[in-house]
Amino acid sequence: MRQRVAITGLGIVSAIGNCVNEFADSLFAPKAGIHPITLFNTKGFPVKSAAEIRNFGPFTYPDRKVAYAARAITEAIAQSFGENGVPREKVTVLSLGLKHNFVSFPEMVSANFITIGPDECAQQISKAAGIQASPWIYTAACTASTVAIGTAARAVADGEIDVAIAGGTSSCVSPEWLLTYALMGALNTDANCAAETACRPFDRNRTGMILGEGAGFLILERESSARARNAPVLARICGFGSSLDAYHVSDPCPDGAGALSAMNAALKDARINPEDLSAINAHATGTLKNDSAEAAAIRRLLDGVSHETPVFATKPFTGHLLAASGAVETIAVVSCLTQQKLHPTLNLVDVASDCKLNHVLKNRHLPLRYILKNSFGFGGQNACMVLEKGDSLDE
Amino acid sequence: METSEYLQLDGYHFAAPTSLSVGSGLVLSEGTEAETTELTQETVEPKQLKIMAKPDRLLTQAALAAVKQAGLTDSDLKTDTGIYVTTGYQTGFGEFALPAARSFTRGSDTQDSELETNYWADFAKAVTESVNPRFLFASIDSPLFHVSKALGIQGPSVIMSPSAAQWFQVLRAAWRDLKDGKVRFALLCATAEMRSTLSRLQNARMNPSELRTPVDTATCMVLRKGTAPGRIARISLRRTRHPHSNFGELGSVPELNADAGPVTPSLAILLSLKNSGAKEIHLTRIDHDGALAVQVSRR
Repeated sequence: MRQRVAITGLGIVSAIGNCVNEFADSLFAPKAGIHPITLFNTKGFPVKSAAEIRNFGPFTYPDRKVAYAARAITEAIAQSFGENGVPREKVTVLSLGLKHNFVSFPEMVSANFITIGPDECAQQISKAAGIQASPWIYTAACTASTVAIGTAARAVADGEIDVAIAGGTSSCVSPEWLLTYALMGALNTDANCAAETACRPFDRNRTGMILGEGAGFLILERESSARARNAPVLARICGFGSSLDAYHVSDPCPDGAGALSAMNAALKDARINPEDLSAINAHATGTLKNDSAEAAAIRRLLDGVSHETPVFATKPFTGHLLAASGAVETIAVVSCLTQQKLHPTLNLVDVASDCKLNHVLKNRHLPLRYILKNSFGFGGQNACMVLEKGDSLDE
Repeated sequence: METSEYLQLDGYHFAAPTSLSVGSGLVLSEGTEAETTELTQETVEPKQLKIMAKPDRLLTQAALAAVKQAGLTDSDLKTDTGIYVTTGYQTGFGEFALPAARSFTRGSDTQDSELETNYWADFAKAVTESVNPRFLFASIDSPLFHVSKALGIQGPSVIMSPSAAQWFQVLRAAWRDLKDGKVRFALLCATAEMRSTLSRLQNARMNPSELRTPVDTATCMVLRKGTAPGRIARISLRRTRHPHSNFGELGSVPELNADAGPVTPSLAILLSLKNSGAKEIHLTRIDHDGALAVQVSRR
């Protein structure tokens, strides 16, 4: 990227915390957010667990993801700009990763399943969060919010815009989405599996992913701009890359070629080499095929360089937030950079033979500078981002 | 209006040595125009054809035609080309869900927990037994998969939806990748199924006074850096209304008096180019989210 892009604010609503401090505390506790579903009765459903939002309060908007996004954006803006919000003279964009969602339970019945479209959702989020920002709406499956952040960062770096409110939101813990993903064979449908341990990326006994909900947003601006107003530089985005592999409509290329291409593109954009990475935050859904392909890609990336680069995954805490997963996990990465320690990959007890990597099994303190964030989606969509530690640690 | 070689976005100016239309493809389903390569088992694998929803098929046709016209080779396509897509509402699950919703409609004020439990249990059973899994793959981002699969493209991608405003953001993303040398070619794509039940209901809810005829269509333009012909001379996006306001006046494709959703800008460009013989066009549109006015001008 031409100019360094600073992350000056973070906001989150997740199953392990409805603010960034609570979220980070849970990551390092460590404490998972996956529990038996309470949003609706799961009698007759093949899936009983999810990472639901708790203790959120009443919903003002019919779609939960609007409320989640508004809360997260408000927190991020307050951290970056204070109570006065983003100055009106700043050219601001709301860069948003969304799943084309059905109106969530229970409203979907009365609404006859008519969707709230992404544009309408963006409007509602802007109104609820009290922001004036042009909407950029990305619908790139599970890479959507990573693409939203990465492309917004490039626009900031190029001077096209001043401020990006970038992230994603999801409310996919609903009957129709659970059934959709269950029919695809992507979810853990093991009735004997305890909810807290249902998401087991890279484990020999992994059987599928667990859906989650929530939102994560970051405030992005040029570092020079952030410094000029004494804003906190929590971390930097210094590289972004994407690729297509079109191997299969829902399966990744088994040798990880598409994932590898996106990782290399992000490193090239950041102008660093694989050996410069302090760690990799894996997409790691807990499905047989994703984890195997991603592990193969990471091994190829690090081949001949270092097999000691730590790899860690966030979904056992938060569930899979689909379009919002990249944003929420990026905030986890920033938390790790800020605290100079990696959170563990929960529930990884017996590493699968096809997933051998230097996994982080418990909190690990180490000097962290660059962390690679991976996001991969159905249809062979791959997006990766390189984050660098923030200023407070340089000074 | 004076011709200028730059893109203007919200007051920002930047050089844009990016050219339009070294190749283009346009598919209007049951419309008046069709310059396309028919999808056959020679061009697309049978398994892929089976899982294609209408916007997937339309866009893949348009992309094949555009790439053929541009003369791109397999090696050009593999990693030197990116795909940049705007797409509209997808039917997907909705074709099942709408009739299901009717058969499962019940009072929203029910307090009967047993009734509630049985309702969802019956719903789960019906979905599990009735849904054709291929509908599940007709998600909003599936056109991206099908184009990359059909053409073997492995480069970067962006997919946005569902309004015409997003088409211009996709154009900007393509331009940025061309400018930065991340790709040599960019497929600027748009596809929408505006005549589906779900799209009609959605539009009726959002724009009850809208009377234009919806059309299903897809376009694809091959962009590359710094060559003629068919240059977009100037594009300006300006905020005309507060994004929180209600939906603004809808634009249309003048030649068709039709609503093509997010395909509208590119459809208008291609139709104007075709009909007038010009290489540049003038287009004014206020997007339906009321946030942006878009103008493409030429001398």
